[in-house]
Amino acid sequence: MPTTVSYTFPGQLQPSVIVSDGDAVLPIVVFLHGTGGNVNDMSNPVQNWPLNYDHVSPLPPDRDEGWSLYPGVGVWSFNLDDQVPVTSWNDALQSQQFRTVSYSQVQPTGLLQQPVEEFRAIFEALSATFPDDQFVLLAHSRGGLLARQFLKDNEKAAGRISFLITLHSPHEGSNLANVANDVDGAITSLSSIFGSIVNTALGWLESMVNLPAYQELATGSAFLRQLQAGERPLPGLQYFSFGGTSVELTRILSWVYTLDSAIPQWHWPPFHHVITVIEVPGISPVLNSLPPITPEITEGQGDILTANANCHFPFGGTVHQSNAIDHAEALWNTDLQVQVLQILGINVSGGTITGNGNGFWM
Amino acid sequence: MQSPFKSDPRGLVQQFRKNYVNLFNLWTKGNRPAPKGLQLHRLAERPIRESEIPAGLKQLLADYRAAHPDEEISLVKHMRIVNGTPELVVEDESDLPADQEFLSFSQTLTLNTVESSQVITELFIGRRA
Repeated sequence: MPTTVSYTFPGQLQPSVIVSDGDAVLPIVVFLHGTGGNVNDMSNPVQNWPLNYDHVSPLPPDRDEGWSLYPGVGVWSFNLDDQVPVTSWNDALQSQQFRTVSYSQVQPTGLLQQPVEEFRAIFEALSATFPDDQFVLLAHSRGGLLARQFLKDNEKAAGRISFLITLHSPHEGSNLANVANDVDGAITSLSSIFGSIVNTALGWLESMVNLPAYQELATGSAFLRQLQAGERPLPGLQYFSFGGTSVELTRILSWVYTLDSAIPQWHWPPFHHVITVIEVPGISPVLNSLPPITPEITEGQGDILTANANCHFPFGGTVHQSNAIDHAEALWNTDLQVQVLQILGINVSGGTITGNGNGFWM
Repeated sequence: MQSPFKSDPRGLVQQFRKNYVNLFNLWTKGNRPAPKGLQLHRLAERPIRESEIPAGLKQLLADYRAAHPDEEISLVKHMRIVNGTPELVVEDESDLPADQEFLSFSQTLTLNTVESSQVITELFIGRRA
């Protein structure tokens, strides 16, 4: 049976978290979401981040639109890649019998201080409810900095935490936050040419980089300086970080009439309309078309919001791995889930999760 | 996916043949009545005169002839469509010329004001020899 754990924190309207059912031998995985996220990031991530575009499948075949009295010339429509079903971290971990906890942080778009204090209250409540269990902190994006600040302020908690695993967390800050105005300008410029489809694909990025929560993580910010001052890896706690190197969010596609559609046939009606899909030159894939202002939005260096080089922990004794995925994909990418499960002692072969593990936790 | 901006001339001719419907037969021998107002003529009764070819198309044809001085071109079918209605069709029971002899040329003209709009398509089929 899932266990409800209550805690007290001012301003939190639902001061309780639910620990899912699972194998009591395994640690409890606590998920810390990133800026602007909520509890759904772990269970239904595309609800908040509908960026699950299938940007790798071949383009669809030509489409016959039938006969017409008039020639078919030019663009039929613009659209983005189709969205595909994803596996959440909750599903991936619970399928391996891990107990999981996720919650919606207070002030998810504000400064980090309140979420850190709230997590202290939550962790105290969890530790008291499960006095014999170990915990894993699995943090996405800013959640990784939340975890670091919490551990710096509460070193004793490390005795109950086996792993801190951060997914695309900008430990060394974000250069993108420093050039938010340039990002705004680049997106506005694209929108003026290609219209609302650019806002659909990139509007979230424009909003994100201007949030106080994101600005707090600007490279060299006062917050990062105080966090790193005197910070050290805590004994007994294993640190793993992951970063992303793909900014290919989605292709921008256009259905256009084929040449044949403009040539009258000896037929009634005379024009046979066929449309074919192309990637729009100069703009697709979408993030690749932005000027490489910073490593965050440069293919091979960033994941749209963070630079891989800045996702390392800023101290030694840690392990870092990068994958060619973007920032949102870290919430559902199966290869990443397999890598994390392997860290947690789950045997995985050929990218398929095959079952409970090698006795790491036995 | 085919590139919409690259042409495949042979493919276009083959596609044209695949789509071809003999409209003379359709509207004189089938059970489908000809559209209202259509002037439907046999080629023998009303040969297609080059003077009927709109100026732009005439220039296109002249350029083609200049580039292919050894070819004789005879016009075998003509269709004019005005605002989605066929106004003139010159054709008979004959099939399209063979692929190697086939030539088609066409244009669509439009004029639009707040009071009216016009869309005129002219399509000619010729035989190269």
